[in-house]
Amino acid sequence: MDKEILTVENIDKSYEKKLVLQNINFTVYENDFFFILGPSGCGKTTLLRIIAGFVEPDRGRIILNKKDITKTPPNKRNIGFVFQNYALWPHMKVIENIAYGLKIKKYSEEFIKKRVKEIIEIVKLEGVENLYPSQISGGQQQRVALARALVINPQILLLDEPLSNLDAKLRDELRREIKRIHKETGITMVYVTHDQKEAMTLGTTIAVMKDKEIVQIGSPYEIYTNPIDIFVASFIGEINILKGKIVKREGDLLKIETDEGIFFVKSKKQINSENVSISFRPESAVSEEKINVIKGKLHDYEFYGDIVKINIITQKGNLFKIGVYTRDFNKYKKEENIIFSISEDKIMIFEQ
Amino acid sequence: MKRKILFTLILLFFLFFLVYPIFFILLQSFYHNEKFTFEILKITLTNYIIRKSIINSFLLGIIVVLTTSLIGIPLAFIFDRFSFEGKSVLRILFLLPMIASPFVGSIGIKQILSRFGSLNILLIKLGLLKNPISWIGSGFLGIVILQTLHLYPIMFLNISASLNNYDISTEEASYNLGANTFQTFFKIIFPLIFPGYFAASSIIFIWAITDLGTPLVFEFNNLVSVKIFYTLKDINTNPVGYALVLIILLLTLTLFIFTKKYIGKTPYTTGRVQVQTKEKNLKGKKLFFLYLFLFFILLVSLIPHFSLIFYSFSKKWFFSIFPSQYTGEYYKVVFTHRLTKTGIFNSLIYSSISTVIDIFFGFFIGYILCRWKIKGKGLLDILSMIPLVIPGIVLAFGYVTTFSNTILDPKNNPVFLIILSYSLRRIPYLVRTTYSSFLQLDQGLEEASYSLGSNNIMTFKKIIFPLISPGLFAGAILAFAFSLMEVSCSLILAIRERFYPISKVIYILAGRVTDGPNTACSLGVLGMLITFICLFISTKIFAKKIGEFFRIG
Ligand SMILES: Nc1ncnc2c1ncn2[C@@H]1O[C@H](COP(=O)(O)OP(=O)(O)O)[C@@H](O)[C@H]1O
Ligand SMILES: [Mg+2]
Repeated sequence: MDKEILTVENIDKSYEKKLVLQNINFTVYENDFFFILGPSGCGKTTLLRIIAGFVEPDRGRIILNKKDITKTPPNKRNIGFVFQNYALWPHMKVIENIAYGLKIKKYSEEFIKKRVKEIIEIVKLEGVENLYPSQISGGQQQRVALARALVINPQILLLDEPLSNLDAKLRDELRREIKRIHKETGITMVYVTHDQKEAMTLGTTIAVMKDKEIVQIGSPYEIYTNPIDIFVASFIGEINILKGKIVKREGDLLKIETDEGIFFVKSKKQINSENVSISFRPESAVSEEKINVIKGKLHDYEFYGDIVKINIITQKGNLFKIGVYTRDFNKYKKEENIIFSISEDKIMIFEQ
Repeated sequence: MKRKILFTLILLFFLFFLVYPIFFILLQSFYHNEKFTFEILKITLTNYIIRKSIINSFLLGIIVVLTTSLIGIPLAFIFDRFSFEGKSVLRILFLLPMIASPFVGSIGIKQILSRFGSLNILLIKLGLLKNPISWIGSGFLGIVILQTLHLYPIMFLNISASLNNYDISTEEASYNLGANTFQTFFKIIFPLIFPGYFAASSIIFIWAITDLGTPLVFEFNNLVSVKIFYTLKDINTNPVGYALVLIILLLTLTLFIFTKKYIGKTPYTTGRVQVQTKEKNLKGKKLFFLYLFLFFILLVSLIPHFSLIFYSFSKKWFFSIFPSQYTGEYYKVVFTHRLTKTGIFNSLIYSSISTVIDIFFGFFIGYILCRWKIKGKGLLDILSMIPLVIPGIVLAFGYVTTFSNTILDPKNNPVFLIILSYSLRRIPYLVRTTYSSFLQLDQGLEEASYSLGSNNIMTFKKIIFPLISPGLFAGAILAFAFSLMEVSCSLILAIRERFYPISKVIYILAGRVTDGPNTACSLGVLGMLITFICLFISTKIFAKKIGEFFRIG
């Protein structure tokens, strides 16, 4: 079994009587690329700062490598931290920024030189060592921030929305870089973001946060295909939602009445109430007429290159978003009556 | 624990050397013959000479506010609305008048305005005048002129800042709705810049009525400040001084509180989003007149400085516009004369030590206010800003009276109190500088250091101090320069000759016949030069560095 590196236990935190974190629990294993995903203001940064030791929790424990570090000051924790705005020291050159942690730990000159060179190669910063942070680009600043945190070989690296200050193109580039660095160094990372794309593409595990709480933890696949509630489902990708009522249960198979007709849903979930919401993702709809049929007219569409997302409006006035291949798009454009169906195991069901 | 001790000590310092003297004055102005009484106030307000002095001081303050408005407001508008060659250099040049206090400038300008001074000679030569006029007269006009020339930059700066703070579209909207220039000015522009105008006027008003040096040089004695100065000599038998200081104190506090409470709070900023530049390009005749106006103002406002320089080099200056013979000998005197040597030496010591004290208080109070969570922080905030509104003359008066016949009595040895008064008055500036530096200093910069294993001391040494120090030192250099040429406290507190700082030496020398004034001017020019250099270093080098430092992110 994987080795546990970090365990966060029952963490509560309030600021001036306003609760910002409530009963946070999770474990991060060795080599994990652990994501904390949630909308802004839900408490992600606070949580990360508690792990790093900049903020004291009101309740709960932080355990690093089997040691309770809840009361350990931040400079004794050996946890790397990449700040959202990088927090590079403007009065130090790039190389001084990177070497700082090693100098503090009083390593020999020789070792520092070697290690800094090594890390500069890893993050690809050759050539700007002797410039000041203000003289390099945003992407390079980000690399310096990474290098500075990595150089001391921390037991775990915390990253707070490290890409949020970069433009779209650089963000893609650095996302790949971070993935490569994770692979090359094998360091355990906890990465905070509000961008589901980052979490889905990089993460091994994702903890989804909603307003001061973690609502679901799982692999990207689990979270995408089996979200615990509508919030997670819609936060992690696009969904169509339809309200309904369970009229019949046959083992796994539920018969649900909606104003778009009868839907059959196969689900292992324990559903206690009769009033439910059913939902499906745009790519789950197929253009066949089997069960769970939706009929409508083309309302509008969004063009994504390889696929087109079309909105269908039904006679009842409901809108459904459905993904189709671009090469098939012309067909739907002409068609008066578009028909789709969703297989019974692709429909997600939530209590209302 | 350590924190609490430091915090308490700083609070005690302010309480003992700032609050206590003020309360002492309050008490003394109502306490006579061992009982509480309004007698002193009554005597003060009914005495003819004293009443006249109060009225004169008020008049002086109001006139100087008006004259500085007449110069400062148009200047601010010109710089706000027009673009022209050399604008940035001119903007700095217009701050130059501030490098010499009106007290020093007045020694030089007496030579220009006297009955047979440069101005009369010039006018007679031009055929505009038959018989020479005594421009100085009672001295009141001279005071008005010098204070105006010294203080209009304050008006200029404040109005500039206010103009910068609102969006030109608010004005355009007014024109768009059919208002003319006149209406727009009074309905839109004036209300928007009024807070800034009021603040500047208050500062100028208080400055004018508490100025001690200039009236002393012009020998115009019927002013509150001068009366306070002279009553100190027999304060034990004549308590009128207390009442006068009380009046000034109340006036200052009222203006300050009014500015803070009612003006400071009006949320009149309309945001800084400026889509369109408001600056117009001028051409031809208009541009010519603009330059003419600017250079005229600049020239006039630098007359005190130039006259001081000419005077310091003049061997003979009678019945001529410029000196008829020049000499550098007075600069030699400055460095050899016993009195001037003492003055320079003392001032350097006093200012250096007070600057060190300023750095200490500025740094720690700025840090505490920004980063600590501690009870009584609000009190510290207020206490450290109070010196801003306590005029030098009030502080000095308070020190002399409060600490007379104690170990700190300035009649015996004023060194401690002089240094204290110098530093106290600059503390607010340094606190502000460091406070804003700390605000700009992202907390992440410190946390990054901790997360890499650094302790408090290392983080302070390697991260906090290097990042704060440019601002701190820029402020410290200014504090040093201002202390070096400080007037009121220096004149009042230095009673015995061996403790005289530069300003007092200048005052004494200026009052001597024969070559005394020449030497005083040389010393004044030296002071001006040092102030200029300090100002230059502080704004140029450090301001640029600070800018570079914080451009990241
Ligand atoms: N130092 C603080 N004092 C008071 N409230 C804070 C402080 N830091 C964060 N908060 C509040 O806590 C909540 C969570 O903030 P944060 O952890 O920064 O969220 P996120 O990083 O997910 O955007 C917000 O409502 C924020 O206003
Ligand atoms: Mg955040």
